[in-house]
Amino acid sequence: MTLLQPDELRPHVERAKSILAELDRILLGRTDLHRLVVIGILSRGHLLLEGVPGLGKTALAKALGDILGLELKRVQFTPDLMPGDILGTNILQESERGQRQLVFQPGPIFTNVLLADEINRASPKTQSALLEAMQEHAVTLFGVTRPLPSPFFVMASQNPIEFEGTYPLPEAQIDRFLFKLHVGGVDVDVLDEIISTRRHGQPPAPQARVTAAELDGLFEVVGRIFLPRAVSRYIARLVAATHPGSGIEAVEKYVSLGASPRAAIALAEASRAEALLNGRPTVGFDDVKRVVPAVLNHRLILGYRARLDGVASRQVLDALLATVDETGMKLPADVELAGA
Amino acid sequence: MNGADRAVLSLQRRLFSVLLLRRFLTFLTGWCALWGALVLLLRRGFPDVPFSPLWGAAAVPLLLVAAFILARRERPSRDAVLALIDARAHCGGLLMASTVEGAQAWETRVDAAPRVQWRGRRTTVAAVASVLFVLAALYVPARTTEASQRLDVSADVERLDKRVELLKEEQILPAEQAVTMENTLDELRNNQSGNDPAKTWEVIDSVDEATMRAAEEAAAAAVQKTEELTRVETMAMALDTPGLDAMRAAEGMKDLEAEAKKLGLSASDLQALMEAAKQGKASLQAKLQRLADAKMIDAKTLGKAERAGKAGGGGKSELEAFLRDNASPPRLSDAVGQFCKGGGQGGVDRGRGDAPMFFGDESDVMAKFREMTLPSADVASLEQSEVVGMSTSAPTAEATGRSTGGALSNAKDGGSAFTNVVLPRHRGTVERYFERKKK
Repeated sequence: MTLLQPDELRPHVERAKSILAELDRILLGRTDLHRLVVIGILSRGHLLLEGVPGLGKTALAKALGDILGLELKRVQFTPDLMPGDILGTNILQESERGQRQLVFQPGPIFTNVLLADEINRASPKTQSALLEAMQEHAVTLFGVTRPLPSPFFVMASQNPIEFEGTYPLPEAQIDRFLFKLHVGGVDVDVLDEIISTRRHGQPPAPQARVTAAELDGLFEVVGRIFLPRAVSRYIARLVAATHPGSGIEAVEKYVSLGASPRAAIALAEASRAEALLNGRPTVGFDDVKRVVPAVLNHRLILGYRARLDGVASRQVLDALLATVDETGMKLPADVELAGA
Repeated sequence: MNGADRAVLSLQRRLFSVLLLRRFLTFLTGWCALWGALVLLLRRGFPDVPFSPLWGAAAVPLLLVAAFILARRERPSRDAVLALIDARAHCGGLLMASTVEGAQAWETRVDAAPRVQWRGRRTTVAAVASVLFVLAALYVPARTTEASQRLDVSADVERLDKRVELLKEEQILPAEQAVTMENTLDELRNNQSGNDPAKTWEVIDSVDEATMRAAEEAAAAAVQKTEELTRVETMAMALDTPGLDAMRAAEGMKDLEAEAKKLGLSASDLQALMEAAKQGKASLQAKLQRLADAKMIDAKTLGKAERAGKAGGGGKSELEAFLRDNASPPRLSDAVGQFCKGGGQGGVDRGRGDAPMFFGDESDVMAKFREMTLPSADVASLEQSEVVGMSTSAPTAEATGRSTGGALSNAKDGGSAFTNVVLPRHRGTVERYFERKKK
């Protein structure tokens, strides 16, 4: 293993930062959210955006597709949406010779970025149609497996307040999302700027775009970011600590099911992307800590006691981060390290 | 060596020092507590142990070695320390990747390693206390063997030995028993260990009791024998007294005279008999006197024997006067017996063994208890009842409460057969639930 050299890493870091800067320019007032979105894209993960209507979730997906030069397709999920409406289906067509044959008509999933708007309004049957696509990047229909275009991302959104006529995403599907990001409101200054500078709220067109080759280069560089053994062990200990029985009080009290190994993989990948954005060829403990909430918040299954006490997964994760030591160094209780 | 290496090395050394000191003090505390306890135990229980208690100090270097080995095991590895410094200095993994190829191109700056803080006040205090405990234990004086383990019973043994010797000389004790007692006393004299003083005193008491009992039995026998000898002497004196003609005429004397004639007892024989009885009495008196001198019999027993020897006055003239005054007994031996009793021996006793028992106001053997019928218990009857008042209306029940039937609640508007009870432990949950709904 050879560490990425500064000259080698620098252009990719600048490119990733330019994507981020472009997102910040197009959509105002969501720097942290944009950073996590870029990290999610660089990690080749799927994103679940949760927020009330009108906060710009769809605009974010569109802007991202524009910047990355990727094909974007949007599907509005409704209760009567069928799997075939997303995946595609075989239709009977007549050829020029007059022969009739079944021809596969690809669905909207055959794209680079699939914007699944209000994903929780579709029935579980339709939701489950995404499982294979999200994990395997392929679609199997009538016994034929067809690969999806590369890169492939699902950006789903769901509304946290209107639950009537919705089908909560099953754990298996939620686990396939790299991040679950909460899209919050913006402050007065940002609103003022939006009103003042954006006619009808129309975001500006991106000034810089990333080519497919450059995006592949970014993916390749993220893959070469060095993950030290101590950091990988920290990730493993963090994920293991989310399970009841780990001895952490908040987990014992509120969590009924912890994160899966897929969460550990997601943490490692997201930490690599975070390190890249920080201009480093190595993953540090701080990189892991920054992405932990986004990676683990939707993967902790909280028990009824959390509901009674009004505890959210974020609070449990804060306790987790405060308790699990980075190095795992087992020093006696009366020996401490102070300062740096 | 760059700054990071120096920081790692420095932190490793500091950690190792703290861990070593911590371990050593812990071991020292444990060892000193054990050592002190052992020293105290040996000082009090086994003062004759040949080696010095200072041998415990020899274990201190061993403790240091053990602490060193354990601290070395506990010491975090270089990679762990590197990760720690990386985390504390926010190096973003560059320090951890310092050994990876190409890491030289990335500059990492570590100003100082984290400080190692040890909250070891409790451990230190415990160690100091345990060392002080050992020092204090070393200053506790050992219990001396001679003073504490010897039981001085020589005086008692000597006293008992003299008694046994006396009893042996007087032929009161059988030879075998005397030898056994002497052996026991010899053993006591030679082995006065004092390990089991109760047992020693028990043996002494046993010998003491046996000698006293033998002496008392011998004294009682001597008193009885003295009485018999006195009677013999008096009888012989009565037969040998010429002034008793009146008594010879008595009816009771005839058989005695016949017996004396049959045996061929002459006057000289009677004199010899009297002399022998006197000597026998004197011998018994001397024996009792020796026993009294040895404090084996009390003065009362000795006085009893003396009185038995002098019963009846012993003089011929007194015997003649007595026989003359008491001519009624049909037998001379009975008269002599009464004479020998004298005026009583004084003191309170239970009388002779064959005396009839007397219990006071006794009922007749054939008497019967008089039967008596006791009155029956009083029964509360109407005759014995007392009328306090009469009413003309029907009796009414007091309104103490309303019956609820099958309902669990006696609420005014009716109850229900089943009521959900919210237990105190569920109340908080219910409240929280409704409070959340309000929010």
